[in-house]
Amino acid sequence: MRQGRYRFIVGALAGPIVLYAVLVLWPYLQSFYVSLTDWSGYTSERRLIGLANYERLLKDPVFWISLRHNLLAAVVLPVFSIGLGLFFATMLNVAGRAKKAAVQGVRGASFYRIVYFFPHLLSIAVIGVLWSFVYDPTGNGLLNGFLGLIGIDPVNWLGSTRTAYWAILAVIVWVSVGFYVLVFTAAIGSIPPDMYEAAMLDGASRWRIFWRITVPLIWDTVQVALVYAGINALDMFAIVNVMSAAGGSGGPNNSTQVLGNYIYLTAFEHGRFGYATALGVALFVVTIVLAVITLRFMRRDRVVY
Amino acid sequence: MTIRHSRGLDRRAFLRLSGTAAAAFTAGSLVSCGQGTEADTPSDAGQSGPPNTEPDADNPLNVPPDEPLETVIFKGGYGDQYVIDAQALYAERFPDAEIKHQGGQELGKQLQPRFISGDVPDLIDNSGAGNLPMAALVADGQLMDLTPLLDAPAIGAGGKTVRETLIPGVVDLGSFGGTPHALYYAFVVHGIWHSRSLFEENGWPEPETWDDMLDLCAEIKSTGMSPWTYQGKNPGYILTPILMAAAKAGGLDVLKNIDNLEAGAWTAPPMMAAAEAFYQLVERDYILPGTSGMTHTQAQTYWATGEAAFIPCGSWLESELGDVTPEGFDMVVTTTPAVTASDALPGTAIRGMGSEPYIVPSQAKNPMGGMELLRIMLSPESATNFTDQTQTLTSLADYEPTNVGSGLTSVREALAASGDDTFFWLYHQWYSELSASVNETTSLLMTGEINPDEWAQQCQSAADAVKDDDSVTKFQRD
Repeated sequence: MRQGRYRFIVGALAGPIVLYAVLVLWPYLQSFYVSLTDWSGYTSERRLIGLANYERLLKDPVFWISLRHNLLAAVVLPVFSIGLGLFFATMLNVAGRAKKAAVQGVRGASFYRIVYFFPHLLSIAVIGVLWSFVYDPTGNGLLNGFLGLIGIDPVNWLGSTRTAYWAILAVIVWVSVGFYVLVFTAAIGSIPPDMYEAAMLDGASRWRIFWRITVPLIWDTVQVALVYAGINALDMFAIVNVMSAAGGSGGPNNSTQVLGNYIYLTAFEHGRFGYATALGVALFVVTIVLAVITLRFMRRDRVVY
Repeated sequence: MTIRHSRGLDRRAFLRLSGTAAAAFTAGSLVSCGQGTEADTPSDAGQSGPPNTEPDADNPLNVPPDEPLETVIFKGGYGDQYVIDAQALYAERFPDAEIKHQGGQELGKQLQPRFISGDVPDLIDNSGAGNLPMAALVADGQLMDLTPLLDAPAIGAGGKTVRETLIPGVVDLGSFGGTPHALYYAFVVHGIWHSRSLFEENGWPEPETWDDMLDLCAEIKSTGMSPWTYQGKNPGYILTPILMAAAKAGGLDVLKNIDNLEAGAWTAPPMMAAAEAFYQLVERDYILPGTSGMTHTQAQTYWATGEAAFIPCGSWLESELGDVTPEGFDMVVTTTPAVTASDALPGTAIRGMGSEPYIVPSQAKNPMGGMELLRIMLSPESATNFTDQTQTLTSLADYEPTNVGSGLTSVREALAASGDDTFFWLYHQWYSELSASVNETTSLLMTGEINPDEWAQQCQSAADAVKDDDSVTKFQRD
């Protein structure tokens, strides 16, 4: 009987584990190996060159620029997209003025919930192209047109090294807020309404309710969202590739360059798969370190209810 | 005039010389081919090789008649119908050969796994975004030497070889270290475009010198129109006229030094003169506001709708704009105005460039078939067909297209006027990282974030970095 159970467990798990090992673990291991070679990506031959690719990486200014941009995004994106997500989710679920029911969202909450989620349904390529039009650098652009109404000269959003990266970050915030609203709405929905009612009866302000009840009770979700946003910030390949230039150069002058895009350029434009893989391994390390730090930093006692 | 003539002769003689050198070189490499270098698969290429069989007038490349032929063609602005048409001619000649054809985009992603596994097509048009990086393929020995094709008799040319029927310089454009690995099927010229009707309406002359250009820009600006725009998100477009102006000012050595990664190539006086000249457009605010943030389509559309007077581009501009161009716009291309009082090249010299690089992989099963199809495509019949379909010239020198628009007319005139002074550079296809780097640096120059001195210094250090990088395969031209 006991043996039979083990056999069942092994039998049930073997398939997925083998699949995972072959499709996930093995490529990871392989890429560590490839990063030690001079593979161009176009032959079956590759030569081991030791740590030369990593040496190159440390001396490569574009690697450091890209990394700085990724880390900047890892700070900015969570603050704005999760901050806004929390704010909107609260407004939509518990911040409405109480008339009959005690806990409710602002008027039209169900409508807003759908609208916020819209951007998330579009493919990132479509979003990039749409926003490139919004950011049209002449006075004819949507954004510059609005600014023109209040007397501001057209801004060269994607063409200036000063604004290009921030313009792209703003798009990512716009895309991801809806997702976090949805996640936090679900989390807030699982908080027993009597907690809010009790707090309101005690005369707590909405601000206080937010910090003392909502945030502590959905902290687990916030934590997961932070890790998720951080990982997203380390990717950003698609949006940069679509918005930075026709060929996705990360320009102007690498001012929007991120590691994901630089890896792509290095591999496919410059035929350096070995070096690109080394960049990928570096990104892998950065991602893991950031995830560990986030989870460590955010550890709080769990509220059981 | 006489000076120009003698220069032309010099150049012609030079090309002939380099042609002989290439032939001698490849004769040697053919021998080594027979001995079986690791670059060549020991497949049909070896068995059907030329040594023992008598050359057949109808089949000079000794194509195995029943061997299947596979082509993968970039299907962009030019489509792939012209290749399919040529395949019909191939099928007439080799009815037993099965032909497999695929037209597509982003060829690099499709073909990369096939190069690794060794199962490659016999002829590839490696063009468009996301193509295979040519220099990497050459460095890996993945591309055939195309000399057998170049030395084969051309179709309908009365005994001339294919090489002799091509526009001078085309072979060099596709050569890496003296070996022709790519053959550019289409030939484009690069220059500065304007609307002839607009200029005639306003009585604006075509500027001959850069001072003329700046005077004209002042006049254009006073009408409320922006004198210049360029494809801001692809700053390589505006680097092209800068390099053209530098080459005209200092002669071909300017370009050779850049291609050969010579010290000081980017900081040489002609380069500085050209950069200073274009920087004046920034200083005097002659560029359409927002240009640096525009895609090529945006900038070209603004230009065609009258927001700006000049735009740099290759000769594909007319077909790329298509219906966007207003009726009677009458676009024409000119070369760059002289930036010094004593330019080394004649005023008419213009940059010629190939497009649609055709390659034959060295692992191909039927490489001679691939070359034979290319030979058919380079016949006057197929070339006329291509130009009529695409409003673009092929690399074949002498043929008469039957359907010619205003842009193509001006391209043919410019090319004829430039003649043997048509020049080219190669660094961008040899060193893609250098190319990316100088393009981005140029974007800073054209927004005024750096001045010409800083621009030259930064470009030079990018070139020096490539020169010092042992992992980059180097090529030389002379």
